[in-house]
Amino acid sequence: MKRSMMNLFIFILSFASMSYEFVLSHTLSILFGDLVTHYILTTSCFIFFMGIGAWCYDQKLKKIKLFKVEYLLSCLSLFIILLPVMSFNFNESISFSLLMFFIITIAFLTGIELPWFLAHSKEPLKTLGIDYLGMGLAGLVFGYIFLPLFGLMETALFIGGLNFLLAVILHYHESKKKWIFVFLIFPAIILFHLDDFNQLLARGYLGI
Amino acid sequence: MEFKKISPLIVLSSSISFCTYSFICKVFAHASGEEVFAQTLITTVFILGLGLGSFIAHFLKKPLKLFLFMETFFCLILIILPLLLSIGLNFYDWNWAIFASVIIFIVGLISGFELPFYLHEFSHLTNKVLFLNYLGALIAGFIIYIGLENIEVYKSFYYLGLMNTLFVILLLICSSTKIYKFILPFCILAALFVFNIQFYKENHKDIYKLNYLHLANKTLKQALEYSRKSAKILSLQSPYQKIDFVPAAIHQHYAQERSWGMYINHKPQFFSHSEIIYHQTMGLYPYLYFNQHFKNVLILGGGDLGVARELSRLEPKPRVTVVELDAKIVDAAKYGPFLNTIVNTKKLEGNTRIIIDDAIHFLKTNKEQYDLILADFPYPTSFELSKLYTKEFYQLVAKRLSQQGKFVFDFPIYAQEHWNDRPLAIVLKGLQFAGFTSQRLIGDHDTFVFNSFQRIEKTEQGESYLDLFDLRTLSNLRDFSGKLETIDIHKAPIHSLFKPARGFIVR
Repeated sequence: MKRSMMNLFIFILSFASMSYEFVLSHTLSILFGDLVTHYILTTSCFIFFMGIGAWCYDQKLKKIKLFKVEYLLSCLSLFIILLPVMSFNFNESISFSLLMFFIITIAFLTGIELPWFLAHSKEPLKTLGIDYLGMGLAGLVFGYIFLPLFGLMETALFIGGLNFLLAVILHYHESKKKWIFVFLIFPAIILFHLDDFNQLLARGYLGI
Repeated sequence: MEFKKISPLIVLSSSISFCTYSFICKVFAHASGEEVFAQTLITTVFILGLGLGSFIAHFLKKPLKLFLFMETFFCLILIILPLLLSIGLNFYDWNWAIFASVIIFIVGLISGFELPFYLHEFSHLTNKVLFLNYLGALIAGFIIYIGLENIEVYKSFYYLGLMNTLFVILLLICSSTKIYKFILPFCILAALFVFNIQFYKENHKDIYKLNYLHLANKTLKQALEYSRKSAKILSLQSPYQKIDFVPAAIHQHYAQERSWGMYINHKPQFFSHSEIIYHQTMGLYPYLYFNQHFKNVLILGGGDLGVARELSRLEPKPRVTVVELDAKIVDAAKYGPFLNTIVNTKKLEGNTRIIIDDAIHFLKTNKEQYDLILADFPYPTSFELSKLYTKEFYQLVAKRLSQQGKFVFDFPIYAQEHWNDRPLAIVLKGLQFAGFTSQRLIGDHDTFVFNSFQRIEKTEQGESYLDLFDLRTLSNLRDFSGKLETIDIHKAPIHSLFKPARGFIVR
């Protein structure tokens, strides 16, 4: 993989990882109130399970294909808001547990990304720097642009879309099969049904 | 250095860093009222600081020396933070975003040295070091999650400073560094600690009072002297908010003997000499305005029971349900301080039911239909409060309102000025989305929005209710709905929980 492309991937993935963290903390605070405490809880869990992800990569997952991780992350992005919100009216504990499950799983999966890139990079310091930059930018973009302009659901789907796009490119890079790009039809279908997702979310929250 | 000895210190140092970051988030989220932006900005700057710190640490030839120096410096910062934050936020009108960024960047930068130092010292045990470092953050997060309600944030910086000092001492011992070299910095730290804690102990109430004194042209010393001489503020801290009862003597322009104001998170709610205008306009004026006797009334918020008090004066008495989140306010209305002087709760017995619950939760779970719903909330000055002005909230209200029912809430509207027009347009758009097709803007000083599913026609006012009004309230009963024509609702965004409108926070 070209160095510039790799740097771009690191930047996008760290940006996406941080954005997931904000999406999840925000969902927690919408449902359970007390924004600051829930952001702190999410951040601490996220840091820890990212660490576990990085550790597991080092111990047992060194042969893992990164595109599989990215496919999984993009699939999860479809449900990280919908499921907790829809289950909230049914049972608050289930909703909280679901959110914690998503925090742990997504943190674990994103934790695999950085060591993977570090293992494939010749400039680890630069890789770390780009990672920090991506995460830093996500904070500003989420509060200023994503949330007020796109909304929470759209943000989650956009980030999932980014993961999916990178997964397809990485997959292609691994297998060199052009038909893989056909997969890009899935995000297009979701984009087409964006309104349905939002309606589902509103109904789920209001308990209609 | 032995890894076994150092491992608890790795957990401790990362816990201290994470706690500091969390408390700074908490302080600025509350001070700014823009919780989401404060949280994301502080996280961003903290990460950038961490990044730069670890970047610099990689190039150092004597990491232990610098690490010890940085950690000692960190102790100093933690010790002076409570004073710096309380003076900065209560007295000087500093731009909170810049203030927060500078502080958190320094904290991030220092914390950034920690991990590379441990990795450098124990390069063969990278995974274990990383695990312990992340474990520290997890532990800190859970401690804060479980205990944050009971932690006084400002004081906690002192404790963190002490813990970090302990950390430095233990590190010195573990690394076999000659401790006498650090005697001078520790003496300075100890002196600073004693001075700070003494100063904070003596002055923090006066510094806090500066919030209400508006002494812009005075020096800090003059302001503190003035503050010491002025009347006392009584503060209550509930899990949800800070409630201050501020004597009117503090506000010279409101000065009336024995008058006081109730503030929630530093925002004025009402003053004892004029509360009647607010509570009568909200509780009684809908009866007069719509010439309709609402039998089943729901008050959301309104734990001070002022609106319930006015409704209990009606004959026949309506059935009133008050849903208040904060039990501390209801207790103050029942047993004091201050609030019990404006409400006699014994008179409410029989027709008023008080429920301690979140308004949104109540609207979702309660299936009863109401004729009149009154939302007596603080203005949307923060993310938490702005949830009560979303389209989802209005949809829930609409679900609990009978077909002929009315919905009334207070909102800061200025008849002659336009600087709050955008938040008003956003609110109106949300109301219309929820099915409230008709609105009226009421009030001269205390302003309200009256809402109905049907077009509100100008009816003959129910004169039988007129006797219930205080003369001062009558001067407030002005309909200035003509302003609605000057507001461009169509261009306004809808404020939603899942897509909060930009610029919705009301000043």
